[in-house]
Amino acid sequence: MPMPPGALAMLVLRVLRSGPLHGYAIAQRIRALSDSVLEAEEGSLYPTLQRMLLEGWVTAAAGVSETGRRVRFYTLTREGAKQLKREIAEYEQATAAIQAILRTA
Amino acid sequence: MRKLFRRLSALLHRAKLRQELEEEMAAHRAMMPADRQRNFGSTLCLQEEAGDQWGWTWFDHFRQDLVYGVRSLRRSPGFALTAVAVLSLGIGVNLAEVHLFNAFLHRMHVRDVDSLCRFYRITRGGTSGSFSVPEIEFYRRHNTVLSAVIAETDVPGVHYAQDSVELRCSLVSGNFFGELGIAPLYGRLLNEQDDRPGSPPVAALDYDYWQSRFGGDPGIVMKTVRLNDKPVQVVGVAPSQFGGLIRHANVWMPTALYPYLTGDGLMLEDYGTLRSFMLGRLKPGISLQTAEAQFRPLTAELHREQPQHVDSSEWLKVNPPDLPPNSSPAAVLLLTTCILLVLLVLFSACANLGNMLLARALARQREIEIRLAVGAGRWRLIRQLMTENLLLAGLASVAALVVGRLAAQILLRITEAPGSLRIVTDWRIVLACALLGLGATLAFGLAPAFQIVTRGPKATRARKILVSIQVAASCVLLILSSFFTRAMHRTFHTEVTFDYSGMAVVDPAFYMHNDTPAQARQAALDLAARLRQLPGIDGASVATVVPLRRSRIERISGQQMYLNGVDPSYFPMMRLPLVQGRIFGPAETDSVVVSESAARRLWPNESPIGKSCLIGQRTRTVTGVVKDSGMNLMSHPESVEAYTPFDDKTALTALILVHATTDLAPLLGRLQSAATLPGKIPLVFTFQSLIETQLDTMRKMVTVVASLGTVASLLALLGIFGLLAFTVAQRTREIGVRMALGARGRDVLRCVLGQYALPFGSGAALGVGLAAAAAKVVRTILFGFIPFELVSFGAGLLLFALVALAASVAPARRALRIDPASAVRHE
Repeated sequence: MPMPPGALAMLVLRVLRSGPLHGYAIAQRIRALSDSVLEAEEGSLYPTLQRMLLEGWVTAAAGVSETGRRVRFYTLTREGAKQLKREIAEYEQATAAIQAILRTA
Repeated sequence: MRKLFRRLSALLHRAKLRQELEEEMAAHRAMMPADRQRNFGSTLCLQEEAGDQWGWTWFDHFRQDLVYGVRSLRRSPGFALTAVAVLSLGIGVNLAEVHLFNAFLHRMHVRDVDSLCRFYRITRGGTSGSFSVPEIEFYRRHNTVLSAVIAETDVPGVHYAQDSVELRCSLVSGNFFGELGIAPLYGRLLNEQDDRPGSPPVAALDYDYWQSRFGGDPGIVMKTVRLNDKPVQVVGVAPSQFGGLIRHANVWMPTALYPYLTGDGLMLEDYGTLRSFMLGRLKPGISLQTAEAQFRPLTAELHREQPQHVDSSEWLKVNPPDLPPNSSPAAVLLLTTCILLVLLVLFSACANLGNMLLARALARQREIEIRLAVGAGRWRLIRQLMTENLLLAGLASVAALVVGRLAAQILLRITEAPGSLRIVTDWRIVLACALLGLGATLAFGLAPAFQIVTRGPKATRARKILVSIQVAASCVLLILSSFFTRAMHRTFHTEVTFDYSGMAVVDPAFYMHNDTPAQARQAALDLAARLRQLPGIDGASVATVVPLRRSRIERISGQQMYLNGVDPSYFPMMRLPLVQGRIFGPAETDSVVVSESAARRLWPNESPIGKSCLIGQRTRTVTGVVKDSGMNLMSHPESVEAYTPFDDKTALTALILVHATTDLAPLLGRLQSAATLPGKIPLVFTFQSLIETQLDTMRKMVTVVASLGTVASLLALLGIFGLLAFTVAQRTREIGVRMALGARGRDVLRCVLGQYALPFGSGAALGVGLAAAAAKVVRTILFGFIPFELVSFGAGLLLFALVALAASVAPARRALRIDPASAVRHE
């Protein structure tokens, strides 16, 4: 199933809340947690990560992956945590509204 | 803010970030299960997309384009060089203009120029910057808004040693150099102590005068020189940056020296002699308006003290020091015309370059096609072409900085501008250069870039338009320069009817000595009688104003008239025949003779004879009307003149005009010795020299327009040559075929040149129209008497035809020399 628009950033932020991860691990985590329903496409994951770096929601630090490759580990910043809260709130509000329409219309 | 910072830091660490991203993606790919690795897509493409987020992609593209542009220009150095040369010429001429403005605006290298202000007296008779010395002293003592008052007094008739040229000598208040913050180059400048009465006489020299008269010898400092035969000690030399405040002086001396230099002890206390300029330094926080407001009651008080000298309606206007009291719309119009003319050259250069680019496009067609074919976007291509153009313009702008500086220096030299004008390349020049370069890039590059990319019908039409623009531009400038040249040569032959080449002026300068008006009057008459006796002299006449040298303007019945006090022999000498009535006799002090124009102005459709009018507080009766002299036409559209008998009131300014039957040069010395009275050495100069100075302004203007015309013609020459050569090269095969089929030389020429008849014609027509408009503007403002004639237009066009001919000779020869046999096999 394709990723709903705008959801990727929120999911990445959420996944990073439990600790720094590298790009592949983020994609894996999203895949695993959604029972392989949602797929973080590489084509959109990396541009999203760059944008989050630019916005200051995450920071990147060089490190070595479990397989011994040089990768970058992304860490959530305080700014990013705030953004996550905001996005979750917005998301819940939007879902509730959609649900309400679906139930009553 | 932090975001901007991160963005900038990304720009700085671009290479590192890119590498990290690449490694990261490679790792990602390697970690993926083998079956899905293929889905990853192009790493390169992904990297670019991810990198886009930082917003620096345009920068990378720009860099790519720039590198590509450098490479492609290096491949065709001939084109690059020509293009840079043409464009730098166009920009350089404009920069030279900016340089001149800059130099004029900032010639006052003085301390804190913003708090300086200059005073003007606004009276019923008009605006004047001249004050009397006691008046300035009064204002200095009574105002509370100025921290200092600076006075500069013009003192005519000061001579150094035996030099016949009058010194430009300024007497200044003691605080002059200190207030202005001028540090001496050698020795010291003047101070308050020097300006006290009884202090030893001292002088400071201007840099340029020191260079030209004393050869830049520092040894002059502390030497004693003789000015008007009085010993004065030179105490120092002013630095080269300081060319004077109001006047460009040769020598500065303290005001207190006036009586010592001239023998006139009264001037310093006389409210009637208006010979000083007044400047002030505003106290902090005081505006020009506040100062003006405070000076109004002061002027009123002065009026109560000196009612005969200060009018009740008089008040003082306070201006910044470098602004004229009222810049006339005419001057603004003239300035605009000049700027437009100079811009025309840049325009022509741009048209030229646009043409070259179109020609080059033909050679690059293959390259462009390939790039389009492999998927380059139109906009991307245009951007790339424009980057190349920007590169050209950038190179040209750098060259133009040098060209502009040189051109400005040459211009200053040919116009013999005062040496205090210095050409300095400061940020204004660089900014103007960058703006001109950018503007030029758009002007010459945009249209060809579109033409190239859209692969429009054929570039020929655009080229024709561009060539007609060039033709128009150079026509305008050539016509105008021929217009001015002719105007200059004809002016004095048509307007000056008297025999000026045989005339000299003897100025006994009575006002410099302690003569009473009655004494001066008698002395002038005696002198004229004595000079008339000299061998070789057949006439001598007394006048108070020498035409073309200065003028005396007064209001008569509300009309501005040019006044002169003369003796009756003045009229035959100046060849001013009587039209009506009679000339006044020597004793008729209450009569006046007017010129035809003046009569028409004062009493339209009436006979002026016997009418009376008030001149110099005296009612006078018109006895006669003479022909217009045309002497004031440089400054006033009509030759409105009134001649009164020379009387006591004006006698102090009397001088003698003499006419010689033989060559004047050897007579000058004899005139001087014959006119010398004990202690009074007169000035003697030829009329020719006055006319030369008058012509000078026009000559300068002609030089400037002509040199612009030359540059524009050079550009047009290049443009036409390029166009024709290109046409011939492009149509070699066709011409060969035509020749093989029996076309003769004439037919070939028609085939090559014929298609350009229309653009040339329309360009020339446009040029004539623009030139006519420009000539009209200049005519109304500057020299009202310039005849508007077709001859100068014809001469300008002829000149242009010669240029066009010169440009087409080589291509035409090449076309005629085409060998049909080899041409058909061509390609």
